[in-house]
Amino acid sequence: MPRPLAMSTIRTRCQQRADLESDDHIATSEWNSLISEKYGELHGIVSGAGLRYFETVSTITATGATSYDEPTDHLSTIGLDKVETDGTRRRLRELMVHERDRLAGQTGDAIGFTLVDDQIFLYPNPSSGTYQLIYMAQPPDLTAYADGDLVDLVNPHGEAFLIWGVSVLAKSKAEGDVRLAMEREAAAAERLLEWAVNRSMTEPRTRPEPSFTFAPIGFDENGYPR
Amino acid sequence: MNGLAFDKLEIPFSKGLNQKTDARLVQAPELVRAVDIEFDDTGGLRLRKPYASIGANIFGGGTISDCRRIYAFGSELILFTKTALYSWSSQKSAWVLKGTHLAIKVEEEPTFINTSNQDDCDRAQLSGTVVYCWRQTVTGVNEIFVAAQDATTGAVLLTPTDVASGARPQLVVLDTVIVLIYENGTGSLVARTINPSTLAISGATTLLAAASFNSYYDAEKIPGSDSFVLACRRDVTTSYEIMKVTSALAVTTVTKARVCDGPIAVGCAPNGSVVQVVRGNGTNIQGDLITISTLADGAAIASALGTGTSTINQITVCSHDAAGPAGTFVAFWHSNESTALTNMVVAQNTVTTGGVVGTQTAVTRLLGVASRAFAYGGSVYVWVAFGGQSAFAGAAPSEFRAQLQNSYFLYRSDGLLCAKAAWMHGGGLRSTGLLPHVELTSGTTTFSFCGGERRVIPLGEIISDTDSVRDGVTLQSTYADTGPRDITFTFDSNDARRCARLGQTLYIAGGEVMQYDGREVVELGFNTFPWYWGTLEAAGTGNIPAGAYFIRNSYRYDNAKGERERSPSSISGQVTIASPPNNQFETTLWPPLHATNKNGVAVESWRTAIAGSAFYKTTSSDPTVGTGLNRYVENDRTNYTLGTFEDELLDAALIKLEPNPENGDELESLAPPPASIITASADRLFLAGIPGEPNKIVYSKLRSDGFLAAFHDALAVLLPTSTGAITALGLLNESLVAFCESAVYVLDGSGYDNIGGGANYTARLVSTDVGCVSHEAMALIPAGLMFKSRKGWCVLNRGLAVDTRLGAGYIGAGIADYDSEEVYAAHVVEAQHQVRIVTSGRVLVYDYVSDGWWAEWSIADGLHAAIWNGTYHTLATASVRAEQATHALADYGMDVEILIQLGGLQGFARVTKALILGEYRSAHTLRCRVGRYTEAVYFQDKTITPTGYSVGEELEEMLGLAQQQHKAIRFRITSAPTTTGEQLRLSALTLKVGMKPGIYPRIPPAQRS
Repeated sequence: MPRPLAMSTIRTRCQQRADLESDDHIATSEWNSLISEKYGELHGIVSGAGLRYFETVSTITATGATSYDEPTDHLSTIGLDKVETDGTRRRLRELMVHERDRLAGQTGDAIGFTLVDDQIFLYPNPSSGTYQLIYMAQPPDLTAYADGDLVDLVNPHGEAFLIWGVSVLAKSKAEGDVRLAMEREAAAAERLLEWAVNRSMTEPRTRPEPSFTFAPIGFDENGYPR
Repeated sequence: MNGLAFDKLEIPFSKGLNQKTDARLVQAPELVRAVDIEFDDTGGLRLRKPYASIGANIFGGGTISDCRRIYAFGSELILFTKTALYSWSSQKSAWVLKGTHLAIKVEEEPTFINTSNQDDCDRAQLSGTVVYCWRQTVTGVNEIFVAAQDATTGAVLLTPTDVASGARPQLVVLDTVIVLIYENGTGSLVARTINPSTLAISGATTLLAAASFNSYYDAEKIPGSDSFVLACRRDVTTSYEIMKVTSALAVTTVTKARVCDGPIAVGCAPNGSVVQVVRGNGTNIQGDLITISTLADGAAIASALGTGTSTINQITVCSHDAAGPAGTFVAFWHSNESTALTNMVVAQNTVTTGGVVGTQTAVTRLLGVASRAFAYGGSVYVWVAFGGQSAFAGAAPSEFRAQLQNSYFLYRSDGLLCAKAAWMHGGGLRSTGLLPHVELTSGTTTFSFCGGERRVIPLGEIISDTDSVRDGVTLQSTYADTGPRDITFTFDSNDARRCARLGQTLYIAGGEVMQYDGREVVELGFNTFPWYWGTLEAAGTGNIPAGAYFIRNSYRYDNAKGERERSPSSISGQVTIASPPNNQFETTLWPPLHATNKNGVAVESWRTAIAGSAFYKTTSSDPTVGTGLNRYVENDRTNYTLGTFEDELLDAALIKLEPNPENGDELESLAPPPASIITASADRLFLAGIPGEPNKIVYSKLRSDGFLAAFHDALAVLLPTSTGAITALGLLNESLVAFCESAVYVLDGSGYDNIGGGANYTARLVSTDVGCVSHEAMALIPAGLMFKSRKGWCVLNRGLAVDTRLGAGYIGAGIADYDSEEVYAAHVVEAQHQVRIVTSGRVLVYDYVSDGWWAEWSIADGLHAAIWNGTYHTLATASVRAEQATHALADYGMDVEILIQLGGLQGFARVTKALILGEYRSAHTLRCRVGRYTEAVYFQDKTITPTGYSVGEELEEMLGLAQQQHKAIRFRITSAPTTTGEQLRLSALTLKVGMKPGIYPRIPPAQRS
């Protein structure tokens, strides 16, 4: 249930809420940066609650390279799958730091991966095949958004959280009274968080699937290295 | 979290400009910019009304240009242009020409006068030095004297120096030196150079030896060359000499075998290629065109320019300037010179370089040429002089004679009388064949020449003139010695366009004070009065009893408004009737009025009954009675004397006729002197700015209804010279106020009455530290007489005191930045309690309804203004613009700026918002600029387009500030119409302000120690 609003609409609503319409004290670019800043918090609340709202996928086409670039907007990893030509997927297991030597130097279809710095390492090192990194993206930098670009505020609580939050920032710059805005922002944040938690991936809404029926070589049936 | 304690700071627009106070101390709501606003709504600002041309067409064709001044004269709106006077015709929607008006200002002063008779004066100005020369007798020998002074300060640079024996001096200005030419003591024509820097005078170089030279010569600088051309009469008058002389006095001479037995004159073409020589040949005037480079004869030789009535006394010739007809020279001459009544005439004619001769015309009569001719603005002018000697040809005069008419008159070649100088003490006629140069001495409009002045021997002295050559009759008064008089006159001077209304006539200051009656503009008063006439007992049909009778004459003029003026009666002549009956009084000699532009002047004769003292008019007042006994006598400017007048009235009838106004002790009615300052009370006209008498006020006689202003030399007040020249005259509490350069005087009293009774005005000093800068810089407001001094605008209050302290009599603080601008006009617009002041940069507006609020209007091309039919009009160079009743044509907006001190001198505050309050009047934009203390620097510039308003609705527009922490903050609000219209009325500006603790923190590191 996205709640997309144009950047200019969000800005206007923020200015109105802060009673700072037509106020050159905060330039448009600064309004945008305040919105961007607050949107990051909104993103954090939603993502931090475990909701896969901002999940995205990056495809890696294996070439035998030692490592592959992590997506630039990568925030946190949900998983990395090998995608077969028929569409079936096989989840790779993330190797822990103490397993760093387990599959090193081997070639073949990857069954595990590690993220080091901004690189993705696949183990064994595949020379071909398609892999997909499922991850939570960083919140976008809205300062680069054009007025017509849409920003997804998730839901009305997200919208309220962002607008009141920006209002707090703006009014505080002008040494204005931010008490009401802060209260409203906090309430919206609470509602947003509750909404996100109720829908997070860590709060199962169905029974988990049975364990994998097969185990790759070197892994148990739960996919952990033996 | 609570933030600052914000409050609102409301600033109503309830004040005007303040430019005097230190900018850090200007307190809102005083404005630092207030353009195109007025304060009709107290506490708010309105856009000023727009102006639109009332029309520029001239009735008969053309459009007005070179406009200078406008005045309301009753229901008339009159316009002075550079050369003319127009009146607006609403019906024709066009300007109607009323006459030529050249607006000549005359300034003059006696120069290097001594007790000797100094004549044949000339003047030359070069490099800021003015050199004068003259002839005077030293122990019976004619000597040439030279003196010099600083042209700017008048400081004497060379005291009068006896250069050599000689006569007939003339000065010629070359590029590097001034050349003194004269006939030396042995009869040779010689020249010396005078260095304008060192004033060293060279030795004499003989131009023509005594054996050949014969008195008359004329010299003129050759344009574009550091040399001059000179022509002179030779001893043998069948030929004349023409020569070129360089600044080193190298001479090239050619003798022309053509008769010159009279005066001779030269005039060079503007390009210096040819010179026109005009010479007297008997009574003929002939012209020769000579090529200057070779001195060879040019295309036209012996052109017959005209004839004199008798001996030719003076000749002068001048080429037209670039504005006139190309290649055309104008020659003036006069002939049959006499101090008595002869057929003396100043005539003129033109001749081209191709030898085409125009038609000889008389410029004026009974006057003599007194200067070399000169060109200005497409015309050629010459100064002439009155040199008559009052006399009564009928019998011995029985009363004092009055020598009051000796003046110079400036004439244009078409006979237009333009100005006068040396009023009533002119030096008279010049030596034959020797005329002073008229030089352009400043800019393109100011000329100078050296005339002469001679005082009148005080009346009451009966002396015997032993100069039998002069007239051989016993005189009752005569002139004193002559001396040099420096005369400077400026064409197109606004000082000669100042006006004042008295009665039904408008009076115009200038080199000739003029009167305008709605029909024409002519001189005020009579420049000459019947000064010479003869009446005898003659055979007739009357039965005039034997006895002594007295007769006098006068001129009379009724203007179009029905107001009358009458010249002084001339000296009284006694006629003794010896043989009745069959007799009459026959007047055969009496001079017409010539020094005038008036038409329709009546000539009147007055006579006493036998042994009586009261005079009664013997000429008819009925213009239809043009013949017969006691007829109506009309002035005749085409003649030298009026026709015979026969009077056979018996005393019984005579004493029932109109009595002479000078019966009793009535002061004579004289013409006024030239003046540049003029004002009028209910019954008097006051003049100042009198040439040579900068501290003198002359006032008219008490005017009776139906009469024009008339003056008398006894009606004058002298102010102290220590406080500078008189700069303006005003009236306050029915008292005359005289402003000088550094003082203000109130003239107490009511002045002499028309018989010289009562007491003269007495000047009371009321201010010693301010005067008034000009006559235009003055306006009468309820608080008193508002005037601009060197300190700025002040008020002479109703208590006749000036307190120039700020907040007291000094009221010009609001527009102190504009004090350097010249004031062209100041008018009170009563309906709006405004004083509107046209300056060289803008129109300033002073609203005196409250504390006195100033604003400025962006009318930068204003030249003058007038309130006509209740509407304020401004003048531009080619249009007269009326203030409109509505804002429909307003294509400009208001521009106001206010500086708000937020935290005292060095505290500060946060300003987050500004709310503009006003009234919406029409579609417009509001440009809002916000800055700090520094002028014209703004950190925020935002244009708002108010929308959604209807006309008359309250307008509120909010502006959020881009920068918010300030010691002081300035707001500039500039409106602009979408098309045209009033846009808005501005009431207030309200700020949302949160005061900050402490002192202003934004001090740069370099300023922290």
